This record gives sequence, C-alpha cells and structure tokens, in this order.
Amino acid sequence: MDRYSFSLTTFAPNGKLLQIEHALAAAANGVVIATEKKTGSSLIEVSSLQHMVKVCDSIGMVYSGMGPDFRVLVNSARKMAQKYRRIYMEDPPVRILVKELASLMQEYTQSGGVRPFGVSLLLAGFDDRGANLYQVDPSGSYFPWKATSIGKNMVNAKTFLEKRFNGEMELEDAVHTAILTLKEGFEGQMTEQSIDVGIIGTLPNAQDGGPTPVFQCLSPADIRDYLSNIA
Amino acid sequence: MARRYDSRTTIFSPEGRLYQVEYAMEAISHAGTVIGVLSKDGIVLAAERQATSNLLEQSVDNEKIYEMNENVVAGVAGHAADANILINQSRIVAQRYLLKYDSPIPVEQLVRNLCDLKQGYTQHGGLRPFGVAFLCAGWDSALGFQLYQSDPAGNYSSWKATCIGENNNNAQSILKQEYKDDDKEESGPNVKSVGSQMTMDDALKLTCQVLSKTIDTAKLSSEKLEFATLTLKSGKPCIHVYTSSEIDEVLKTYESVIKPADNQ
Amino acid sequence: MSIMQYNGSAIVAMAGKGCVAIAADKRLGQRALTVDTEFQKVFPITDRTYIGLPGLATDVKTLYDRFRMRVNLYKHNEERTIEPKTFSHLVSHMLYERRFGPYFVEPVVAGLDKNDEPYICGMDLIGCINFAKDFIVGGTASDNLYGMCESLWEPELGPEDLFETISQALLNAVDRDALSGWGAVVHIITPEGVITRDLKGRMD
Repeated sequence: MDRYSFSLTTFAPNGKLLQIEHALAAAANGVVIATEKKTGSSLIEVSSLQHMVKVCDSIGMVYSGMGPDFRVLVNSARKMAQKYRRIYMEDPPVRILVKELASLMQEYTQSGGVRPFGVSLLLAGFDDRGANLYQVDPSGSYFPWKATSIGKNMVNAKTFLEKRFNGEMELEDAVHTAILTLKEGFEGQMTEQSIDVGIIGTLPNAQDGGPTPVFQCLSPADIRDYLSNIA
Repeated sequence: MARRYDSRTTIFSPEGRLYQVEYAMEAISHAGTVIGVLSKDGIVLAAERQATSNLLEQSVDNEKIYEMNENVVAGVAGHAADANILINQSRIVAQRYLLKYDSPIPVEQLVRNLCDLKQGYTQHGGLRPFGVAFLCAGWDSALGFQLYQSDPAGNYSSWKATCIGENNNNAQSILKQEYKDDDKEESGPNVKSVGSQMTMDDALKLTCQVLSKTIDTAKLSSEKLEFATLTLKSGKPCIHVYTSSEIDEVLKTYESVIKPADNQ
Repeated sequence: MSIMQYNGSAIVAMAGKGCVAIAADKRLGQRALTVDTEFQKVFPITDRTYIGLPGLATDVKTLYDRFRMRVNLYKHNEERTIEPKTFSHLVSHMLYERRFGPYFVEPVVAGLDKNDEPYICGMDLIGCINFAKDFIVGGTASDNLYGMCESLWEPELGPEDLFETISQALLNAVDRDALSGWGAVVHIITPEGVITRDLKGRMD
C-alpha cells in the first residue's frame, strides 16, 4: 500500500489519522459506501455525526482523518459541483469533480504557510460512464476502484473484497458485501446506529425523471433490514 | 541542524546545491518508466504503470499518458498529483495560444512554458518543487516531430530517443546502441528529426525491446503499460492513445524482441 | 439602426428525422454596403454539433475563437466530446457573463446528441435559450425566415428533403431582406456524417 502514499513535506497522512473504517463496492447498477460511526463516548448523540455527505445529486463522499478538514473540503466540493452545473446545466462527471478536488488538495502540499489536508476521501457517483468509485489522498493523488477500503483495518478488508467482489454484482449484493467487509474488523455489536450506508442507485420510487441514479444515505430502518438479513 | 538546507527549496546549501530539487529527481528515478522514440514519420511514447491491484478500475483512466494539445502528447514520471497541475496548466496555455494566434502552439514553446513554471517553484517561496519529469512528443509545422524531456528543476532538452523513470540509465544505453541514426551530423540548431532513419515500426519495436529490459516483470502485458503514438494524417497531427487490446497486439507483433529478455 | 443589423445575416436551423440542418447566408456588409460575399457565420464545434452566429461580425469571430478554446479544454479534461445540449448551456453561460456589455450575436445551435437525436436551439444576445422541436431562426432576415419556415417545415423530414426545405426557406427569406443573402451555405448533419453544400443566390 505504501506505494500509493507519497511522503509529504510536513506530516504523514497515514497512521494515526485513519481511525475510521470504510468499505466501498461498485455494483453493475450503482455504488455502495459503508462506514463505521465511531464515537468516543456512549453519551454522544450518534445521529449528529455526519461522516457521509451528499456533494450533489449524483455524488456522495466519505472521509477518513480529520473531521474539520473534511468539512472544509465538503464545502469546496459542493461549490465545485454547483459551479460546474451553472456552466453546463448538468452534474459534473465523478472524475472531473475528483480531479478538481485533488488539485485543491495538491495545492495545500506545495504552498507556503499551509499544511496539507489531513483526510483521505472516498467519492462514489454515477455519470455517463456508469458507477464510479474514487479515492483521493492528501497528496492529491487519486485512484479509481472497483471496490476498496480505507481506514484502520484496510489491509484485511481489501483482501476480503478481492475474494468477494465481482463486477456483475447487483446493488443489493454490493450492500451486503460492503457491510460484511465492515463486519470483518468491527469491534463490538454492529447496529443500525453504529454504521452508515450510502448508495448511488436508482431510487425505487423514482419520480418523473425515470432511472436517474442519485446518492442517498440509507435510513436506520433500511440498515436494520440489511443487518438482519446478514445475521 | 543537519537538515538546515534541505527542507526549503529556495535556499542553497554551502556547496551550492538545492537539496529539495535533488530529492525530487531522486523520487523520479524510482517512478514508472516512460520511453519516447522519435522516428521519421512519428513518435512512440510508452509508459509503465506501477500501481496494480485487482480492485483498481484500470480501464477508465490513463495515469501516465496525457494529451496536452492536438499536437502534443506527454508521458509523466513521478508524483501524479503534481503532474495533474502541470498538465492542466499546459492545456490552458496551449488553448490561450490558439485563441491569440489562431494556430497551434509550437511544441518547444509549450515545453518551455511548462518548465518555466517548474523553475519558479525552485526559486520562489513554495514548499517544494514539482516532483515530476515529462516526456513531450509533439509536432509543429516549423520543426516537425520533436521529443522533449524535462526534469523537476525546469531543464528541458530535445531527444531522438530517451527514457525517464526507473532503470533509465539501462534504457538509455540500449536506446543509444539500437537507435538507427543518419551517419552525417546535422548542422544548425533547428534540425531536429531529419537525422532519423527509423520508421514507426522500428520505433515501436525498439520501444518494446527497451520495455522488456527495463520493466521488472516476468511478462509484459497491457495491464502495466500505456502506449501512444503521434503521427501525421493528411498533414495534421494525430494522437493515438492505445486501448489495452491494441497494446496486446503490439506486444504480440514484436514478441521476437521481447522474448530474448526473458531468457537472460 | 441597431448594431445587430450593422453587418446583416440570416441563419436558420431545422430538425429532421434523425438529422438536423443549419444554413446561413454569406454576406458581410456595413449597413447598405456589401463588403464580402464569402463570410463564414456557421462553425463546426464537434463532428456533429454546429453553431451559427448571426450578428456583429467582429463578435462572431471573437466568440467562435472563445468557443473553440472552451470546447478544446472540455475535450481534453473530460476525455469526451461535448453534447449539443451541454454546449448550448456553455454558450448561454458565456453570453450571460457579459450581461451588461454583451456580445452582439444571437447564436443558433444544431447538432445530433449521443443517441442520434436531433437537437436545435437559439439564444438571444445575453444567453436566454429558446428550445425548439422544429426550427430556429436568427439574424436580420429572421421575420422572413419565420414566415418561410412556418409554411415549409414539416415533421419527420429525411436528410434530402430537409436540405430542400431549409434551402428554399433561406433563399426566399433573404430575397426579401436587403442586409442578408449573396449566396448561402447549408450543413446537413446525419449520423453518417455532415453534408455541406453551397447555394447560389441573387447577388443584388
């Protein structure tokens, strides 16, 4: 894995920063992101933690690393998406948004007086190339994946995914695979409160627009259904 | 104190060296190999991608070879994120030239502009230089086909055949040995591609030969390679970036020069 | 006299069955004086998207150069060719950027999208898009063109019929406009390629 990470001038983005685990899998007709919601204390209102955000209708994003840095990047990403939309009247292809976000992160590795962003991002989205999955590192490098994992248990999770993943999976299977991957290294009981699942897929009750895939976070009830199927 | 002179690009060490620039060059010498070979009717670029995993979606993007303009294609070795910045910038520069002068940018001007930007980061107050080297293959009406190499310091030079990245010394010596050149020395600074006796087939063959000796793998395959050619089609530059099946085809055609390498 | 009438022009686009056509006159004038009879007002943007720029000639040239730049950058960055609809929104955006000091053109876009469906639209000088299923007109002869198109156009025309229709519409419209005419050019965009034909017109 080290081949993917270049040492930056000021600090190493790996190691301690990556405490939260994510698993992603692209399916034939969509993408799934699953993430552990880690809390320091049981007194924290879990619903207030937002790891998984919508950038625009067709793109969702999660992170590993420093929360405040992520918030700043979410703002930028949403602005980039809207700026693109203002020109072309359509959502940006995932790769274009990734490229632009990666350029921003690169800039913070090379300018004076700033430190790089302390986050790795995973972006999932849908465009005319189909379902897309990208990882963006603090260095500004990005990689397109069929399925991957970042965070504390990523090495095992990736091995697991390499065995489980195949390109013809349907969205439902991909959700299962992602949750199972997460479960591999999960500490304690996995409940609908302790994980977040986001999907890019056609809404079951799509309105007029027909089958336009969009990003959505699954509700705790939906997650509970998936979990009970697995158990 | 030992690192007093190596963390900032803009300070010379007592020996007059810029350590950050040297570190950047060092980084590139471990990056995936990029080879460029000039022939009399075109240029071949080939690049090795190092990161491979079953889970990586390799079919969608080129990582190493980019079209910069309709007449220039570039191969990059080094830090991908840095390369993206420079490529974007070059594309904009090329288009601005077209807007202003209504003709495609001369290759050297584009390369010079790119290198001026790189130079700036070795002198002005950024944190570090760009950790990338480029091979730019281009064509313009004044000088014909041209192949340029550039490094993080902002040097650039024109070549008949060259290589950057891992094992580049090895590759250079094979290229030097095998490149078929016209005997007589060309006069004048601007004569660039006239000396070549190579055809495109020769160039592709030579590229495959060098690749097989520089890339550390049992068998060359399209998974680890990117290929592009620049030729002229009815007087206009034509860039072709190979698909993976086309790369396999090339490798098959030149099997004979690749195989001996395996036996060594 | 409005600056939109200074150089004179007539441009029309029509949708057919699996094809589109765009045609323009060739006159460049300064008010009543004719200066050039080979002036280009329709430009290729991609293999299957064309734009016509009726209006002030200097802005026609400048805008085309700027569109070319933006489309080339789009092509390199996104590694795909721009769709006619997307391009129209880009044009609209670029025009509205100059809301209070506009380029004096009323662009007409015609093209086939990735599903080979015809796409045509027109714009005013600050980029308000007018989508149409049938035809779009622009320039000093636009009133005449509206009349001709309303009576000649019919749905589901094939490439050859569409060529005949658009040519007759344009030629007869410019004959009743002093500021446009002097020959014309027609592009028929089909999935197989673009057919370009020059038309002779009255030279008076």
